[in-house]
Amino acid sequence: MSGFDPERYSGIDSPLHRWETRVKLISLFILTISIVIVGEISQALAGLIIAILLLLISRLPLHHILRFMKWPFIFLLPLVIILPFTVKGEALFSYHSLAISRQGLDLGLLFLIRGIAATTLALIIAGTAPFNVNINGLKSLGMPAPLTQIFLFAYRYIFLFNEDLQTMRRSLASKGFEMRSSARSARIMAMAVAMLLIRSYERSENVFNAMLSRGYQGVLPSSQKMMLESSDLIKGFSVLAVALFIQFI
Amino acid sequence: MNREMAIEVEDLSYTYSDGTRALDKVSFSLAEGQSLALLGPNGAGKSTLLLHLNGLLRGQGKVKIRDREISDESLRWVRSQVGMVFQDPDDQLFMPRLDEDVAFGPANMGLTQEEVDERVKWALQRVGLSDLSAKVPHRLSFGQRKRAAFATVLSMRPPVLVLDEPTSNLDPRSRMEMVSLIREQQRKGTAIITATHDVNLVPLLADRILLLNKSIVAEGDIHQIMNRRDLMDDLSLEMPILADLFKTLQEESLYSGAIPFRKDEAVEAIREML
Repeated sequence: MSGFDPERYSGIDSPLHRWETRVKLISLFILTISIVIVGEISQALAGLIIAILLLLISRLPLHHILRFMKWPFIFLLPLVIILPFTVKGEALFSYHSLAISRQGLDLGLLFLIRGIAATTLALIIAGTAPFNVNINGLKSLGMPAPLTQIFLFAYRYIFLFNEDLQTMRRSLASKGFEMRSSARSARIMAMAVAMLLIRSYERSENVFNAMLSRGYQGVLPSSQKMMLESSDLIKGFSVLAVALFIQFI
Repeated sequence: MNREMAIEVEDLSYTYSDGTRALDKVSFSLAEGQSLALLGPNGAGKSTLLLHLNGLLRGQGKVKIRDREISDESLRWVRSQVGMVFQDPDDQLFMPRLDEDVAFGPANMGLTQEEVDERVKWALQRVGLSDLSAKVPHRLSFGQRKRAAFATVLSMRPPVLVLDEPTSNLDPRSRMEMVSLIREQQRKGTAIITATHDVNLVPLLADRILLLNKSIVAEGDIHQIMNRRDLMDDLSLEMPILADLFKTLQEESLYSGAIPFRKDEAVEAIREML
């Protein structure tokens, strides 16, 4: 799969990679909540700086993180553009009936900074441990078993779905198909996607048969042992202290 | 030597919900330590038959595994006895890591963690993937995924192995590795049934053959069945290339000996001809 591989660097060594999964999940989740509920740009900036510091400690390559960062930008940048024109407040600049308000700009920037900080923390969680370790961590923290299985299978088969998608696109291209903004293109793409969904459905049946044939009875066995050390708790309390600090800036 | 029956199928018929008749009164048996190749054209019911051996499909008729009929009560036991390797390894590798996938079957059998670990190590070593135990399946090559799928079943150490196209889409070396793996299990007493289209591999991986086209067309020794051109043609199947060549020589009265199926047999036959 070309771009989507958040756990590519889960095998490198860093204090965050060595951090016990459950403590890491709880600590970084609380830190994320602490950042996304702040109301001041200064608080959000402090949260972003802390997220960047944690990223540096994690030794995850910057290009790996930046690859995923385009998504919060795509969703949040429109807010920075729209809110200054729609939120009423002190005018920073005006032209005829159009006015850019300070409050709107602040709000847009606040959303953007909080979003980037939260995404950075999410990428740190996803990037510093294999996906199954994180999911098993969530399971041991009380996430329901059926949900655990859905996440595990979705993660495994999303790569195969993408392979099928690439094969289908190559097949369409080999037959001279070019995507255009026409009804014909839309109809062909709709049929191709429908075929992919049918194939996925067939695969799900085959996978279920393969599971049954190996004695599956509704429970996924897990052999991962989770060991809690004092250093894990120290890291956890440090992050919680930072989360609290952000609230009192 | 009296061998226990590993698989006994009696008058098995199956019709899919859309009305397609897939199997029609199929009966055969396979003893422990025997290897049977299942051949037939596309849509002949090979995969449908294999799914019955693990209780994944239930048709009319009887299917017995090691003298015990498949029923709701015996299903769990049956699945610990019959290891099934599916044609597409991506259907079989559903866990996030290879070692977790290989551990899935033994863990469901209720083994202790130590036993599960030992079996995972053993199975991965058997298929030559010990170094990749922590890999995620989508990072493995197709050949590695095929072997990994085999390991997920080997780890259950089932006395019966059911293999659906185990050598399809493999390069020549991987195919031969798979054949030797299958034969190795057979030597240990495992009963093996293999559905395949690869007629040239059949003499290497099985002793007996079953030709299926919804019902059984022929069953018996490979040498007796696979040199019958009429039978193979009727099912749109080819004869193995060596057998085909010597059969042609026989038909043209240039050769009168036994039809060879393996390279060493063919070399011997050519020596005799010269």
